[in-house]
Amino acid sequence: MKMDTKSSEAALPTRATRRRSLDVKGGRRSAVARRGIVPYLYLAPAAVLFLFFILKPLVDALFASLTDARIVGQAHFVGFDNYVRVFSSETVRQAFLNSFILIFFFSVLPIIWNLFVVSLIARARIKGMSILRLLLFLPQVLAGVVVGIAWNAIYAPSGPINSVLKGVGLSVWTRPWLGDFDWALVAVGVVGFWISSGLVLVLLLSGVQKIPEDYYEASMLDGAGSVRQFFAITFPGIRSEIAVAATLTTTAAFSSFSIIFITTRGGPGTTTYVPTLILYQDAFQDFAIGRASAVGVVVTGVALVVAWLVSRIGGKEE
Amino acid sequence: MTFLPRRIASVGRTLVLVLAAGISIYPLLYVTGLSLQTSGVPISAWGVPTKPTGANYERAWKAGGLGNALMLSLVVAISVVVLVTVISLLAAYALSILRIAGRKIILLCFLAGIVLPVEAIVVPLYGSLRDLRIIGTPLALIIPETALMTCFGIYWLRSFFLSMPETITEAAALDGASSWRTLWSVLVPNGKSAILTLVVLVFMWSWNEFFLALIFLGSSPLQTAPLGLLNLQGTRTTDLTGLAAGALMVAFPVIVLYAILQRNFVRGILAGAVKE
Repeated sequence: MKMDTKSSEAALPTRATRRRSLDVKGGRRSAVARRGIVPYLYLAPAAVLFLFFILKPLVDALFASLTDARIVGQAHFVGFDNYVRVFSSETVRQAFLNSFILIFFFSVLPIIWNLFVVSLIARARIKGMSILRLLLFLPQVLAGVVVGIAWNAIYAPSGPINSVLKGVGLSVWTRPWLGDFDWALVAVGVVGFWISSGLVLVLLLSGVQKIPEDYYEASMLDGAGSVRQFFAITFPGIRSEIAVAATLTTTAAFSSFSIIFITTRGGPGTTTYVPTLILYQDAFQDFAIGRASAVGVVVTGVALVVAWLVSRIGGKEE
Repeated sequence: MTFLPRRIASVGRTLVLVLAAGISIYPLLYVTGLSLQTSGVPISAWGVPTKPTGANYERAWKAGGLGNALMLSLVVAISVVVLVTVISLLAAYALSILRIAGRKIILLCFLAGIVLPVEAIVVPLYGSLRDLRIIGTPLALIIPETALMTCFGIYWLRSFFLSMPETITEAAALDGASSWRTLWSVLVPNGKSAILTLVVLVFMWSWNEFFLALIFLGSSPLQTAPLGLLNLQGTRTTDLTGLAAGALMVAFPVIVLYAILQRNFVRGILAGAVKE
């Protein structure tokens, strides 16, 4: 069977293509490059949607975050009061902290673990890669709600985790995992690890298999051990795959709302709160539009900063 | 090197990979078993139903109202797929092959639309949709989803258009084809695979969408499939088997699509990592 390199090949040319396309100055010269109004008509539907349903709400949110707007009634300018409240709220701080803990489970841990797995597997030809990839990628296509329900069943008091613990004589360890103050966040984190791990493994494997065999042979002649080989050849060789993995998994961590909503709804207490849940409650249960908008702005800022940091991972090699 | 260690290493490798794949599929297998087990009868950790029944599916479909929810999800997803594909094709064409002033800044806007978390806009968006009197209707999902996913669609199709040899569009122009004709009878037929990838991806995103549905349809009788599951959970807190059946019915269409068009899914999902 063939080795799998398709997935990363598919990702990389598009990267290159877009970089090139952004750098092109003055546009592509070709016989069909038409001037006049026609191109703008093609663009119009997308532009209208963007202006009214993305840009306008974005600007509105920035303004609303500076007011005490509620669903009804007059809104008053309150300066940065909402932001002060957001940052001084214990629950909000916990929610953001939880977000970062979830990034660890969704992103950092799967990458470290699968680097380890990949270094064990080395560059062996893998039989049945296509079926393997089909299974490893499966969590990526399931709805968050479906994932949440599946793990609710797995973590249930009568579920498989507890019954296995009982079976091996560790009854004292059994607990309602998602309802446990100490374990609920870890339990949700494990779901994140499960979601990301297969994707990361597929990416790293395809990266490793692109590294020319000569590199390893040459380093072997130089007397490099396998640890040395890993840090000198494998790791630099799959850096762009690591960057792709980090981007996708941190994005997934920030959009884990549906899983949280189905599994714990922020509980027990506020132990699994995430900022999106606070935004949801502020806006659609307390109708505090101003405060919810401020939460949304902060979430956006944090997400963009993290995305920027992550993009640095693959940055230097270019 | 002797034969034996190599053999052990190979077995070890296979074991690690089989284990990884097993962990990926396990929750789905367990839920499948659970969905077929008679409600109230305990099931082992392997998830093999000891008293199989189809009653859970019937209950979820009827009592949970999942039948209607699945139908609405289908309507929303297909509408979004058609709109996103057509609108993205037009815009990507304008932004790649045709000439347009300020192209760079326009592209940056759409790229920002890909990166932007939906939390940034969801609150005022609710207000806008309420003013349009479409909260609680399918349009409350179709319009925002189309707007958001078009940003990705444009980027994705634009990189496809740019990968096309210029000679193709030049030849069409020499034949006197209009830009409209060039798009639909030259570019689109050549881009079936890229378009198919966009179609399956948008279908999956729309089908699985939960946050927007919760907010824009939350209190209305209309429900998408993921929302229907939520209600099933709410009204029957202990009905694990019914929930399992419901979850599988919701997951089923996407899993089937994924099994058939795996390559398109993988390519599209990985393309989501390309951000500025």
